[in-house]
Amino acid sequence: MENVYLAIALAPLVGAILAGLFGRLIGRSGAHWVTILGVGLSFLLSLLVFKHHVIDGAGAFNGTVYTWMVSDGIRMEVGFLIDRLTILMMMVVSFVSLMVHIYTIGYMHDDPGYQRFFSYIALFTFSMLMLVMSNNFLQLFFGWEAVGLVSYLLIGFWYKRPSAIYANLKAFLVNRVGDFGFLLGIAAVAMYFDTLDYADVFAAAPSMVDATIEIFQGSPWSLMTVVCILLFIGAMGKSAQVPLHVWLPDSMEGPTPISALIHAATMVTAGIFMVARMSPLFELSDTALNVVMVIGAITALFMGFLGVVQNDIKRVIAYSTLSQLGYMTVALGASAYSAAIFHLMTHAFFKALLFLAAGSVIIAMHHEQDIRRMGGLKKYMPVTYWTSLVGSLALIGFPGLAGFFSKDTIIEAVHASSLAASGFAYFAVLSGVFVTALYSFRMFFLVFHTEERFDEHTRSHLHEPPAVVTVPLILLAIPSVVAGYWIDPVVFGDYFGGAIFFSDAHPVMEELTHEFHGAWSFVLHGLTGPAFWFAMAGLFTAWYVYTRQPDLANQARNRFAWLYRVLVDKYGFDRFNEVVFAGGARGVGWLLWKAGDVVLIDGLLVNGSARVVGWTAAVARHLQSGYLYHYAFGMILGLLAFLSWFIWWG
Amino acid sequence: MITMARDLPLLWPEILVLLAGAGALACEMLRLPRTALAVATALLLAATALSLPLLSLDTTVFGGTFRVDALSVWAKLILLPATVLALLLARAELAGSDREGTVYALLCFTSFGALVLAGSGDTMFLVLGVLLSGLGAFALVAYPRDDAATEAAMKFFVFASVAGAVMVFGLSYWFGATGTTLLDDLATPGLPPAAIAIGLAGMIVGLGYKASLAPFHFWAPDAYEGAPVSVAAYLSVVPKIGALFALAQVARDLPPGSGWSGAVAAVAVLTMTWGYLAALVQDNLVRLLAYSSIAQAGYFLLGIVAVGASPLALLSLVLFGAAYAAMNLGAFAIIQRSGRTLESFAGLGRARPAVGVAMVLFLLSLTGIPPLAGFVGKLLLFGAAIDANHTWLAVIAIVNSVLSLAVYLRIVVALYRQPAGAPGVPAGGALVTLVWVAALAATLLIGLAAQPLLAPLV
Repeated sequence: MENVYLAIALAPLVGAILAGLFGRLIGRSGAHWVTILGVGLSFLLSLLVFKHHVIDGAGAFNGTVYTWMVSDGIRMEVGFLIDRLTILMMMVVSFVSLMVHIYTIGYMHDDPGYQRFFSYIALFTFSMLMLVMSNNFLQLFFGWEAVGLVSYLLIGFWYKRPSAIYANLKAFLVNRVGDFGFLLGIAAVAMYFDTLDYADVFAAAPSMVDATIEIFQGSPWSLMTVVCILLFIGAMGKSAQVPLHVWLPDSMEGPTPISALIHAATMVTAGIFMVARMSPLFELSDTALNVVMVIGAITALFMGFLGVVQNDIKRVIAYSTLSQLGYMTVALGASAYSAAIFHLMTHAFFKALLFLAAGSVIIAMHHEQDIRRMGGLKKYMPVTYWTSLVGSLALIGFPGLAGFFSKDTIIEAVHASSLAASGFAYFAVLSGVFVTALYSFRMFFLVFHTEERFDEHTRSHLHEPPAVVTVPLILLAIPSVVAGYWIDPVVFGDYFGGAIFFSDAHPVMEELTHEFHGAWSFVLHGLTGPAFWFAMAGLFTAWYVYTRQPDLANQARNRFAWLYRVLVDKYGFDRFNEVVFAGGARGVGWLLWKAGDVVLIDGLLVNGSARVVGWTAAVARHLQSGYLYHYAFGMILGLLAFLSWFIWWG
Repeated sequence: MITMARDLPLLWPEILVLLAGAGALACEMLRLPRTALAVATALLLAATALSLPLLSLDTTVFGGTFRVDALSVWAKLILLPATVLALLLARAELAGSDREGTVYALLCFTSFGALVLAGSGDTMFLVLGVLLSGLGAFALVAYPRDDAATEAAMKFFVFASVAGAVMVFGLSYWFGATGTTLLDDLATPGLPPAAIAIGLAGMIVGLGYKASLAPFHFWAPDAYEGAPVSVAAYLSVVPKIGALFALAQVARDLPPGSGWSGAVAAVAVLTMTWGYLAALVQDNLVRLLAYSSIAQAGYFLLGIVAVGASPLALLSLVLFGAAYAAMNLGAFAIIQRSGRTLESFAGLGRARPAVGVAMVLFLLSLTGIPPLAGFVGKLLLFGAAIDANHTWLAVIAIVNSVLSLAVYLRIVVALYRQPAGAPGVPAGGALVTLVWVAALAATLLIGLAAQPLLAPLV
């Protein structure tokens, strides 16, 4: 099987190299064929691996594929850990990536950077697979940075737009903050465990529970808490948790297929995956779990509110993604790792579907993204309409659809959790359900129902996009409906086996499993729970306010002008960063510039060393005069210097 | 005296290299340059193959005067393939020119000189190697017969003559002190220190000129600029590595505490710093790479100061030698296909993505960025220097690597800049493409396969 694992990771890389370096040679259709074949192969082989491990019951594979270097006893390796958690991620990543590849043929049809785009998304798929298949921290970090790199490249794909370059820079800077924490966390692991291998670290972790480190003299901190929080800071950057979430909405400047693949379904969930993978570490620190839960709860509720006031179709979905990532993080904090991963999977399907459907609308509207200038699209684009409806219902957790199972489990898990933060988190995730339904169906009604608010010219060109666009929508709609019924083995069964670790102190999943009596009774039970009625209330509010009484929204906006301003201002995170961090950095910079820089650094060090470098270089150039006797003179001087040296020392 | 019957089989690679030169010359006399190329290439590859079985040996031939040890065998395994790549580059650049076959012959003879250097166990072989690898090189630089080439060759020749004379003069003191020409005898206790010192100074001048170490490097930028690009590529790799390996051979026999390692460390600092500082202001890429190759020679010295003090020393010299040969030949090959000035690189990375990526990888490897060959080589060199208690030298080398980033990034920036005019990108010939692809493969392989390559060597 080892060759199969290798092929799964490398097939997209081969496609990326062919499309990237030989794009001109193989042409546009060549570029999409090689990358789609590569990713398609990955998907099929992932299914094979699923059969081998899950259906045929082979045990987890943990092996080194390649040892790059051994330095001071720390082995730097490429290796695979293929357990059931990895397999689930592999299938989700390769499937969604394949759908997005196919969709891109239609979406990027007229773009001059066609081959470059395919090369990037195939490279992304390779990096993401390396990340999830890794069996050690070094490779995890490599994949982590590589998916980030491709993400920046793709956010700035239309590099002639200033807003795209701004968004790309912002994503890069915010992620640096997260990655800094992440790198420190890995360094701490390397330092205290003397290995970078997952299995070795997890095996040694229980003996480290009482270990402390003194970062500041006299205040010992629990090693596990420090390591977990540092790693989680990395996850906050990548998975866009408050307050490191600010880059994700701006990342919508990238082409829509990217928003679906990278900024909704896969890359942003890398943080969730990482924490679940590290469950043997996180389970050892209640403090870290409380932090995770609070951050997740804040993200889940407050980012949802912002979706209600956005008018850009992609940004509404972006805020929805933030909110859903918050749900997954809450589940991690509640030790319901399997529920988090389950929600990650269902979310990947329905959110990719919603993004691709939004892209379909955007193509049909000639790159109009403002939902105030849409309306009544139902009759022009039936496939997009029905698939969007499925996606939206799955998102709000309509009983029977995929999102219902995963989200309800999370809410139950938080309810059952005994951590200090669980009270607040339960309130947040429950109210979040109402908000989710409100913004989802606000967008849905404003786009597909209500009166048409566009001009005659747009109407005359309005039609359903070609099959390469609609087929992926339909293919994604299927798992959005049915994936939830897999809940029995994945969440409550023993699907994950040893891949995820629960400590006895956090018996949340055990309690839930006790109360679980099959998927159908779970649905019936859901109908009587508060979450379902919150969702229905949100849906009804959206329907009433945006289709029946459009004035109501305006009145509410005038009545609660301050609230509206806060929301439009996105709670001021951007302004705060702009003023405090950017401005503060500029201020401190100005001070340092005036006080230290101009005089000390510029005057002496920079200009000084530049002057010394320039001067020396000029001297060197001068010495290289071209006259032979100068050269001979230099040589004789050197000889004399050596003679004196040796006589002196010898 | 040991019998010829034992010694000759150990020298098959050298004999084949000589035959390659002679064969190429014979073909040239018949006006068959293509055959000359084919004969030289085939014999050089055969010589490479015949070197492989010698890898496990550590012995000498001709009464201890010539060594067949790891350093000398690895020199063959690195320099002979490098010579083949240089032959192909020369063919691409000089095909159809008058006396084309002589170029191939001269390249083979010069490589022979470099191999003699790398295996010397005797001062006579040092002198012979310096002369053999010099005579061919002068003619190669002068090959175009225009003013620039003639001037470059003339300077090169006069400079080499002076350096060679100083070297022979210095080595005569060693002969006077030890009574033999064998390097082994330098370790005899009780030799007069002044005689050893003068000999050492002379040898550093001679080999320092050959390896273009500061302050004996002045000829290099001028000679490379006047010479054909392929010849510059060759001179920056083959004779240089030969001379540096010869220095390592001498260092193995020097008595410790004679102050030589401090002197070599000082040369290393001067060479690295001077090379990169001067490279910083060059706009002509051949000159820029000439200075870069001077600086890189300084990195080799980190391994040489550690000879005898660290088990990593020989290993790091061999690995960095292979890495340097691959990445430097690759960078020169791309200059040969794309033009000698920084301006001619503008926009190349956009017009030819594959060539652009290859050049970026060569430059990053020269800087020493993981996971490329240059990184692994430099890491080992730093390790060797630190083992040998020259930590300060490793720190200076690392600082210089930062400086080198500024040198090489100038080229990277040019690669991806929008060209001012219409991009007139010349299509590279198949031979040049073959050379850089091979060099790229070696650069990646040495970098990525570090552990598998190292494990059997350690």
